[in-house]
Amino acid sequence: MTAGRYIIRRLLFLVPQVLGVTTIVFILIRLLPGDPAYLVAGSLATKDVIASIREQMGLDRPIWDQYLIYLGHVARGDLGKSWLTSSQVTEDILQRLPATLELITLALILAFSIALPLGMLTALRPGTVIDRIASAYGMLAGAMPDFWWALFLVFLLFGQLHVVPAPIGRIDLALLPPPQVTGFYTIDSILSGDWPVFWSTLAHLALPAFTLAFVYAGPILKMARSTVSQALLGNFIQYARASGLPRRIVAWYALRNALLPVITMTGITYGYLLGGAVLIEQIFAWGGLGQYAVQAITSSDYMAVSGVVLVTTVFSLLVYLAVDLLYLAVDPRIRY
Amino acid sequence: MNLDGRHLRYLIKTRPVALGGAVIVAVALLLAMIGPLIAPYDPTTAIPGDQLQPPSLRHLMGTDGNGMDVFSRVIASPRTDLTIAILGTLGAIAVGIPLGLVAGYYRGFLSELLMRVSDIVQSFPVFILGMALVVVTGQEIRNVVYVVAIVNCPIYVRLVRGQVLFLRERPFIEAARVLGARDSWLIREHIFPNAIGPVVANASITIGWAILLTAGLSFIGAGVRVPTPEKRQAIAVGAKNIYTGEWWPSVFPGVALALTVLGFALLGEAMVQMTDSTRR
Repeated sequence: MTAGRYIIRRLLFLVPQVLGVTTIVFILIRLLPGDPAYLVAGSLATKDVIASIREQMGLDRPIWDQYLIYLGHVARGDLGKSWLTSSQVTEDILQRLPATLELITLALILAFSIALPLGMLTALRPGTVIDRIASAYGMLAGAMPDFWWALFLVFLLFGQLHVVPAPIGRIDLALLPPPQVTGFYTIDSILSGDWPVFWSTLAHLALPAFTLAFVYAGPILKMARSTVSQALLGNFIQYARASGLPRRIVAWYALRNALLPVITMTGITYGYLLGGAVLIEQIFAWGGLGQYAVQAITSSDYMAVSGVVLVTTVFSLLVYLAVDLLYLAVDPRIRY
Repeated sequence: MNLDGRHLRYLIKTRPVALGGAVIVAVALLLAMIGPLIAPYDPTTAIPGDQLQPPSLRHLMGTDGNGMDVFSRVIASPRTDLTIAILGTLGAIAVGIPLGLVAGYYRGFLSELLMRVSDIVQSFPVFILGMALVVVTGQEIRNVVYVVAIVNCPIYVRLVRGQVLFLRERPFIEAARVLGARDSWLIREHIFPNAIGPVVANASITIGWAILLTAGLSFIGAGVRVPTPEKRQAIAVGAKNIYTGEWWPSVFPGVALALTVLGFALLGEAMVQMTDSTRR
């Protein structure tokens, strides 16, 4: 099968996949106990009011009709109305998504740039002190939950040493957010030339991003170390060494061959963190997608919950697809 | 899988870290069985007037904000912790193995379909889904087990499928097929026993991961309800006390949690290496 056909097949599979996700989310909403109409109407509503709300929400129709209506709405980008914020779920999510993306993107750039050089270094010099420290770190960082590290670091760096701002929100309370272009405060503040906001954003990003990077760099580091050391055993490396190439160049050859699994690992972590940084967002009052999800769940805001699940799942699917296609583009050995 | 005595002795000599992991796991399992019996205090009963006592001889790890003995809770908690993690992992394996065998052995549309469905399940935001399921269906141990099982299932489907894809082209399988072996017999007698190694090894890693997931769920208040002794629960509730200087209700359970997860991770890592013929 040629690369082109493979890409087309994967893209074609994306359609039923998204349909599958939507169906599962719909079933989940239906499985939840309680009549949504009661929740909307409130406890004082009369029977007539509830009946009219049921009709308005389409709850009186057969389940199959409801499913088709739901699919139709989702296809048009309408994820329903949130009962908590009383605005459209799609708007709510779009408003909060950049906060989460900014945080996890920075965190993974950090994690990647810690893990890759360290993994490389330890693979080149196995058994040294650095190698042992790095592998101990790889094990320990992941053995404690991320929220434990977050609380500990907040206690230490904010509570005791006062080197980071209070874990409340994305910028200083006294400052106004930059005019929205991308929703990323760092980029928007640069675009509007608002330097105080830029520095405040960075200061607030520093600790949550570092915490996530610290915890999730572990698996990436392990992957980097094992793939580089595997590559170093390859015949082409032996040949390069035998030809008398300098160590630096040999290391570069090994790195180039080991890079893909490391990128995959980072990609998978990215997809995971979109819905997995919930606790960190909660601790730092980040106001992103994760915190929105927690609010929605604790207040039984089903449309909002299903919206978040749908958006994060489809986003992760796209990330995985991108990683697979990246393989195809970069690695000449892979032919599907 | 070559897990005989000779291998084990060899490992102990060359990999003391793995042995350490095995010891931690053994202690955790033992505590899961007898922990609640040997705890000095009832782990679910608050002692009136003893709230937030620092560690002392009377309370080795102090007491928490409710006045419950932290040491007793740490000792009693593996029963809840490990039950959730192990049952969830077993569930994931029980569903994952047959699907993986099918997906690997019968290639083509069915295999592709199974893989893409796995993609979907793996793409679901584990944490949000777990939280929603537990909050909505009630904060019961059973529900946390389901979440762990469902979200980990695709890992085992992939793992087994990979093994089968590799095995089914091997000469001994081909030979059996030439001799007229039926598919069902081949899978049962040859493919399954040879594909199971990495699954067992990976189980340990999943268990550690499951303990962490439930820790997070408890932190947000979607885990097991308060009186049930469960480490993560303790960390979460105790976290509020850190700020006021009472560190013991969260640090001791935190360290115990980290040790448990680490133990399972180390053991799992060692077993992965043992069962992976290319890395022995």
